[in-house]
Amino acid sequence: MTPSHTPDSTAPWFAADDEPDHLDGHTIEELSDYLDRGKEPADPSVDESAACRIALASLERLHGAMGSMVQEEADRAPARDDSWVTTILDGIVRDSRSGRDIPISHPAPTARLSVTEGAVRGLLRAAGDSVDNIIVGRCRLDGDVTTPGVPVTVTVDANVYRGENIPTLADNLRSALLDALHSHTELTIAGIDVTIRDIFLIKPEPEGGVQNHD
Amino acid sequence: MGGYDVVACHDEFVTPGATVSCESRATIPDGKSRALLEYADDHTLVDRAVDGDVRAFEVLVRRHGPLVRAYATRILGSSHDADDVVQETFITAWAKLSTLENPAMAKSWLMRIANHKSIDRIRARRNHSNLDDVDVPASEDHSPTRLAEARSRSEALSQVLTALPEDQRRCWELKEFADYSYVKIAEELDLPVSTVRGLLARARKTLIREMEVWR
Amino acid sequence: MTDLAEFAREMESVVRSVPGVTAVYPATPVVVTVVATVVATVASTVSTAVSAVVGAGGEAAAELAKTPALVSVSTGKDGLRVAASIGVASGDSSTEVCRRVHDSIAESGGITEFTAIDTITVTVASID
Repeated sequence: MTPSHTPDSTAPWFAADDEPDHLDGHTIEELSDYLDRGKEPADPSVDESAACRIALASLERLHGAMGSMVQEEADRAPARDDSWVTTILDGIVRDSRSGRDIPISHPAPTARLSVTEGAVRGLLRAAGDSVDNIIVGRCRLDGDVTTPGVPVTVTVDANVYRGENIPTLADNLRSALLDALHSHTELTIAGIDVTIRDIFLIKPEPEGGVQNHD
Repeated sequence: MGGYDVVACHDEFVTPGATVSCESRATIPDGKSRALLEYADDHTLVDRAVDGDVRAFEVLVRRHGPLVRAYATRILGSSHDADDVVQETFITAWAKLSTLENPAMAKSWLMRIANHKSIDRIRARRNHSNLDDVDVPASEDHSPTRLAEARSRSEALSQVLTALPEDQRRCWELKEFADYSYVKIAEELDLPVSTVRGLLARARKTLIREMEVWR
Repeated sequence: MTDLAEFAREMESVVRSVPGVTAVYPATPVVVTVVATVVATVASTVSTAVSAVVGAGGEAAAELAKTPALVSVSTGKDGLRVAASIGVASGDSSTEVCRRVHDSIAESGGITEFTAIDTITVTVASID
């Protein structure tokens, strides 16, 4: 396995000092730059050289190996206490997601009552997640939610587990969302569009084998 | 809504002493939903976080935080400041999440932010002192015995990288992990571009040689 | 003018005691919500916010900076302006809880000391 460190004509380029002799006139730096450019514009003198192609493959392997190395360093890093997560979550500005104010009626002329769009989206996520075998993704309220009585269409992306009956799930989801909207808002709902975005969620196994799905 | 555009929890107001009750927002009302989120793909988590779901964002933080930290450590040349980079990366990510065109590419997008944040750190460090506070590698580690102990190719490469002469290693890490050009590396390390090219060439050769041994 | 600050805190406990309210969030006038995230400015921003609420600086503001009232009280064109931002339990109804909070504020004993009400703003900022 150990390559010979004595330069000779049969040694690979990386064991030799005279790269161009081993790489059909090219240097490994040229090849590295070529790779960094995405092999554009194409250079036939490189592409058609077996030695260059072997060296390019080595460079690509090295790049890949560097990536795996960092990934493994991340995986091997000892578990830390949770404070780093807390610090991040404390640092984010949550207000940026409140969205529009959706009015709530009241007879008093001095009353200004509303529920934020962000709160309603949170409600829709929670209501959707409570339906078995569904994880809700994006939620949108399309229409002028700030004016009472204007019809609003709700658009929801949902992920379902493999093998589930999609039309049934979509119906269950719609009714759960509608119930939630009725008890928490005065919105006039014109319709709820459910988009089943993906069907690749892996159902967690009840015992052991917990695995992150990427 | 007279004079009342911005509502909800003003976290940026919270001083350490002031107990503003935002804590209920961070609690988990539904254990089931939380468990499910761990199985959701990045696309779903990003969509939810854009909509304001802090728990989905938390899953992203836990999922990718360690890799962000590992990259930052490589780019910075030490783990010093890496935690700050992780924090800044995710706080920026939360703010800019809606600009992410392909939510499924969250991981590489996060790494790009981490890259920028790390580079900012290097700049700041350079402006504050001309002394490198990076760990000085012990060259004598690069012994055949030590390498033979490596259990994996990654471990071996890591050892080879650590054992490289400092200037070679810094050039390589900035090129490989921060995606720096020759010119930018030269600027960063105060070296002529030709020197940077030479250092990279030597690092590249050593690394490939060691990697090929592990094939 | 410290009456307003005290009143704000009184209103906060009124809001908290309304069934269905799970949280009270800071409801600050819009002028002070545009802030930098720089830590160094936080302290002064808080006292600015409190000054805005109280209407005068000084000791009252300094004291309040330690425990700022989450319900905002200020004087508007036609009288008193009260603003509260709340969280509601998902098992409840936001519309009902929101109206209950409004009514509790409007009917609370303290408010009759003030001549007129400009607006009572109640915003549901989270449902969980």
